[in-house]
Amino acid sequence: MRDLVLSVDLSSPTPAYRQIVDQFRNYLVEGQLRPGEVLPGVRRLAIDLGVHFNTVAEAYRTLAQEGWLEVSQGKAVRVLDRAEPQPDQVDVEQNFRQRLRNLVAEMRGHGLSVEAVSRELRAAAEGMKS
Amino acid sequence: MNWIAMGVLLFAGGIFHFLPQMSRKLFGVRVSAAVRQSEEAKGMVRRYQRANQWAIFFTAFAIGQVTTDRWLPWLLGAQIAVAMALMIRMRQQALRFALPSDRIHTTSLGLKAPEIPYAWLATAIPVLLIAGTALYLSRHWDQIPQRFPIHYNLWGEADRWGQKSEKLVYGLLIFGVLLEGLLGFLAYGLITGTRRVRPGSPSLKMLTANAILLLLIQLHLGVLIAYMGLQPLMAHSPAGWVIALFIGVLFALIAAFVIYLVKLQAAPDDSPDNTPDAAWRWGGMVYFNREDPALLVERRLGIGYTLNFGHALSWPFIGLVSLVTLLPIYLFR
Repeated sequence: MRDLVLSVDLSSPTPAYRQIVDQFRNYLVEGQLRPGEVLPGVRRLAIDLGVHFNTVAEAYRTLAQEGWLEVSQGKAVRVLDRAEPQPDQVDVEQNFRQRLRNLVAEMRGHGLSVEAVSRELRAAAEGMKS
Repeated sequence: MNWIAMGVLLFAGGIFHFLPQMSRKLFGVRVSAAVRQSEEAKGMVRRYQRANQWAIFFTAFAIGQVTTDRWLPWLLGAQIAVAMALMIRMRQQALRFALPSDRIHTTSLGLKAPEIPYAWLATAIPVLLIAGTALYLSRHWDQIPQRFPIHYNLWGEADRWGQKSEKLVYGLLIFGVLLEGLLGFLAYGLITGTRRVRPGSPSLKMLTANAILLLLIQLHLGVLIAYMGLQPLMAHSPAGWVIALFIGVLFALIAAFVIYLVKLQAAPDDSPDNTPDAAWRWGGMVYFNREDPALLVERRLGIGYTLNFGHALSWPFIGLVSLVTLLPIYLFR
């Protein structure tokens, strides 16, 4: 398996399982993890990261609910060939719009210009074209 | 003068003397490579070693003066306690150089665990040998004399005898199975219960070497115990050279691995550690972290690995260690 790095900041306000989900999702969207690849089991990844089993189990469960992973008792954790979902639900779009507004406000609050925010958002979206 | 006590003092004192030099950490504290190589860090190690040398000198002087052996365990215990206290004191001084990022745990999906094919055979073969000895003894029970040797000196001469009983005939074999279980527990803990490390790194070589050493000791002790277990049926004591060979091979094995491990431990390696400083207690000697599912973690002081005493399996392990330690006292007192 490629040398993809995962890290968890235990002093961050973001829950540890959420940090793991976010990093895996980035790798999955960017295509660095491809369908059929096997990920470390819950116990193995928890030992490697030095976090509780439940933290990793919760992260894998979330990714499985999103359709990225196949996670079942006694079987290897495998990346699924996920059919691209259609963003047709109005409330889903509204939810993301609100989260983006919050993020943009936070970036502006840290002193980034409108141009810089646009550039960063575009670069992030372009970087995840798969 | 008790030369055995003097030997133990020099051995234990020597280990404590070189402990800080055998680690990438500074008295168990994670510091940057620049700090580790700095004159200040080297000065701390020198101060510790000087104080430790004085403690060894005074203990050696006291061992030479005492007229009864009753005091020797206390003197040796005091020497170890002083060395540990010195270590704890230096660790407190080293904490000001500690890297601040120990709340960030990292890993990589490309890390590796030791791969030792057929490792289970190193447990299965000795247990089968010991079971075979037990079966052979039970089949030839009538041929066991009423009185047989139960203890030998280093030259293979019997120095204690016991009356024929199931406890004395099978006791060594039960002890052997427990000891094999203990070593097997540690070996499998190293292979499956430690964090994976970078492929080809000194850490992976160290993990693999540690596990192989335990597996070889398992095989070696299994053969020795199966052989010694047959003694009640043998007309003669084992030849002195047989005992010397077993003990010599065991010590040579351990010495060769320790030299190899010391070299590896000093080599730079960026495999993740993921153990918070606060979880290292007793001057960095004891690791206790209930949140960490690793059973064994790399030592911060000295070489090799140590148990995570916050792990649920650590207490059954301590129970097994106690049993293995106390069983010979019960059997052969």
